[in-house]
Amino acid sequence: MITVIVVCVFGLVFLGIINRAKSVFGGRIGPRAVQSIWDVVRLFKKGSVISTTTSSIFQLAPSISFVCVIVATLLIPFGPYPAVMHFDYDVVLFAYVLALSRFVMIIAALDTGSPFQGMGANREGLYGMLVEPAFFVLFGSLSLFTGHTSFTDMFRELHLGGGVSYMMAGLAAYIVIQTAMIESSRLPVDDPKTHLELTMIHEVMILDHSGFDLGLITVTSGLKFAMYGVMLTNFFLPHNVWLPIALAIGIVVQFAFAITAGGLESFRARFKMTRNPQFIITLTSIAMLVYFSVLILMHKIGM
Amino acid sequence: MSMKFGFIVAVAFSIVLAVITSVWVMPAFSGVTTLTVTIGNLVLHADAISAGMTLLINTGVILGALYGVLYLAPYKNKSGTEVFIHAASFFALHISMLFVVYMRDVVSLLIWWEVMSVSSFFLVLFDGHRAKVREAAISYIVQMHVGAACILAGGSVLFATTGSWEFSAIQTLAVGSEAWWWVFGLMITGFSMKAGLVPLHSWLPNAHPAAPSHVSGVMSGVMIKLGIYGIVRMLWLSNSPSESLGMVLLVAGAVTAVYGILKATVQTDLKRLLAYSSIENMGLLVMSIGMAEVATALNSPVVAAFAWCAVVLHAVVHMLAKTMLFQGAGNIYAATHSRNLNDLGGLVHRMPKTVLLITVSGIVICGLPPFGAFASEFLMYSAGIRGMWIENVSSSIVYLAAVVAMCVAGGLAIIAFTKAIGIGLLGTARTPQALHAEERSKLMLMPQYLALIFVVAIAVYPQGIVDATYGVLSNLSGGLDLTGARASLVNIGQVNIVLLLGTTIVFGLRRIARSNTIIERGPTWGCGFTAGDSRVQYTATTYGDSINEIAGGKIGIVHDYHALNSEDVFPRTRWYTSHEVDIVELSVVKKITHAISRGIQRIAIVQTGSIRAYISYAFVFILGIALLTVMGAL
Repeated sequence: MITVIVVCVFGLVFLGIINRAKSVFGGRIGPRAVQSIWDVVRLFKKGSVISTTTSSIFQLAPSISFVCVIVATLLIPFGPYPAVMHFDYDVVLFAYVLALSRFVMIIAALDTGSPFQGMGANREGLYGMLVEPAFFVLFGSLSLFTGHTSFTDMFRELHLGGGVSYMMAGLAAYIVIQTAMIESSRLPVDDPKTHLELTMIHEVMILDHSGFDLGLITVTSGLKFAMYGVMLTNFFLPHNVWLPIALAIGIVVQFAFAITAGGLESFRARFKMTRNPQFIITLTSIAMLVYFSVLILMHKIGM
Repeated sequence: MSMKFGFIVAVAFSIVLAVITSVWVMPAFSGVTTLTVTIGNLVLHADAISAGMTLLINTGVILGALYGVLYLAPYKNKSGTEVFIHAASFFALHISMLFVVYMRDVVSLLIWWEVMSVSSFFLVLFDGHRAKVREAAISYIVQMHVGAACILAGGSVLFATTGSWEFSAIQTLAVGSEAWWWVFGLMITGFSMKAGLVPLHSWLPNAHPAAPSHVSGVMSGVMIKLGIYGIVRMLWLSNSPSESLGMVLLVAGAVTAVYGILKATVQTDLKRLLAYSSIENMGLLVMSIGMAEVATALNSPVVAAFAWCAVVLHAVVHMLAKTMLFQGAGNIYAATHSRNLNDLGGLVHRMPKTVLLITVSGIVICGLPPFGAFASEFLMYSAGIRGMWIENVSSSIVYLAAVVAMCVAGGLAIIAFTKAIGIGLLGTARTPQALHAEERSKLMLMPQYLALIFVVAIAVYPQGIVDATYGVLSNLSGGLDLTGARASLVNIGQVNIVLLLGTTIVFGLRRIARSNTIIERGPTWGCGFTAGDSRVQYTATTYGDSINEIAGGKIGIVHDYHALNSEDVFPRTRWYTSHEVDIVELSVVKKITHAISRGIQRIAIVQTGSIRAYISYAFVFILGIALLTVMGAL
């Protein structure tokens, strides 16, 4: 339940914090972090223009995508505090509801018949496919390490100690951050601050959405970020932590994550599109390192 | 004679057969008793596995038959003979598939196996006036015979070793002995030919598009699963599980799954795409069987239970989804006379029901929630992740590889089916045929709605399949404890309901929130480009190109292009085309057939056509006989 509250609060301001961080790094004053909330409220109140080419799939997709991210959030615990919904092998469900969200957003983009959105849809599908093995190798290794298969049990049992396990947590955190960045189409694979048409993955896919739907999509991407933020927090929470301290750590991690994302977008250029697949596949090889360090920690292979 | 009428007779026969066999196998379904019935010299046996297959076959065939009645209605110019052959073959396919699962010795199984191959050959040949169809059908029948020869060879080894043609003689072979490997290697190769495992799959992507849609639905949804049945039956009969055979199956399945769906992403022909997706799903099934076999050998019943439940559930859901998809493709073909995704588009406004059915079945076949294939893939992942815990490191790595193969295949499936749906059905029409497509009649959509009802029922109550097929499952897994797998399915069912309800609620809220706002309709935003028409849309070819690029152009996209030479001073007409071939077909099957035909051509030089040559052959022959007689050899 704590996860849901944290994600809902930070989901709304996450993009605001990123923008604020970007404006500060860029030497501007910029809008306040809470501005992202007012933006969404404004979008919810606005009317919308719907393309004559589109069908009901186009209108249904943002709602499905939103529900998918909510369901994914329900599976994430907050350190030792269990998730709303938890059962064995729920890691698979997590990956698959996000895949469903991707599926419907892709067909919604193709529904418009626009070449730009087709291109974005294609890349979204491709990068989503490439990033998935890293996720499964990472959480498969953690399940091997902890002897559990649901997020709640895994994060409860994840006791770190010794050099290899810190390295493992570091690698895992890196993979989660990069997965979050790729899934949300931020730097280094895509740059959302360029003009819409040039932002060739997520932003171009949603060109035709307006009004309520666009608001829903914005909320969804904020929630997704905050959700990965909580997942990241879980790697660093000690197992018998007092709730207020856990919350404090959680908030710090969320802010750090958002500011890092903003910083990255201020100081880095995005990769060439053709280089992106290579970059994303590296994540899987890093996840393999986690797997082998688990094997070493469990004395299955010698060191 | 009207095509429709002739076919209705076959359908009536099929329904009667389906009812009789379904009722007959019911007592065996619970897994307690086995049934035997003797008709003349024919002895039919049914145990729980046969009973499960019977229901699968009957459901698939009846759905295909009902669709076939209306699908065939426009073919009015077929002669009486053609109608008779098509209808009789359809019924023969049904009965032979059923009898294959009732046979208990190699020879009688092969006879029905042969009937199955030949009848489906005639069904594929329905549009035999087209050269491509003939070529596909002949390639199909030849490859099926290679498969049958493998099964026969395996059976012969069995007979030579044990003195019996009965499958049960397999139990007397020591697992891992040389004879065991020959029998299992040859027979599983033969069965894999039918199932379409890489590299024995090359008939499949040609035969499925060539066949009329009601037949390809049955072939893909039901017939190729008999290959899986054969493999399962062999493992079931073996007296103890073999880790190495399980590993082989697991790896072969994983390779098939990834290769199949990788090829699906670069297809432009809708039915060929679906055929490759069938290869993927057969790969997933065989991979699951492999996981179960390895787990049983390594004494990990939890993994085996997950994997076996996944096999049964996936086989059922795949049958339903493929039936819907092929019939949907049939609807589109009937309306536009095209299967090429690049000629379609915008069908959502013309054929909304067909598009809805294809979209739902597309989500099903990708294994996404909230539908049934998610439940089976969830169990497969569970088996894979749990299998990583197995003590020895090498099997842990193999299970990890299985998980990676599954998620790569899942990701690629999303690309393949968003392409089929997004490019083929949505957007704007690319050709006048697509623009003026008409929705099919309600009656023609009925079999798809029937399948949809099953699909939704499995989505909200997936544990129902495990309960219903409990006898089959306990038989398959050797009486394993299935409570863990069942509990997982209960959870999945609840999540599916949450997803469906959640979407309804959010969509309802959206409706309320938008009720006070102004909703306008306008053209798609073209980023300032106002001259856009349907040709600016992404095509199926470009959509698959990114995958082709990552694969280094090695997955069979052939470019036909003549580059400019230095001597070409004046421009001439140039063209550029690209098409897709199966690399296994090109580099293995075609090579073998070319070698054979070259050999035959070499022998054919004796056929000179001149009478003098033939007289001299006769003379040499007589002389030879005379010489041999004189020398006392004869």
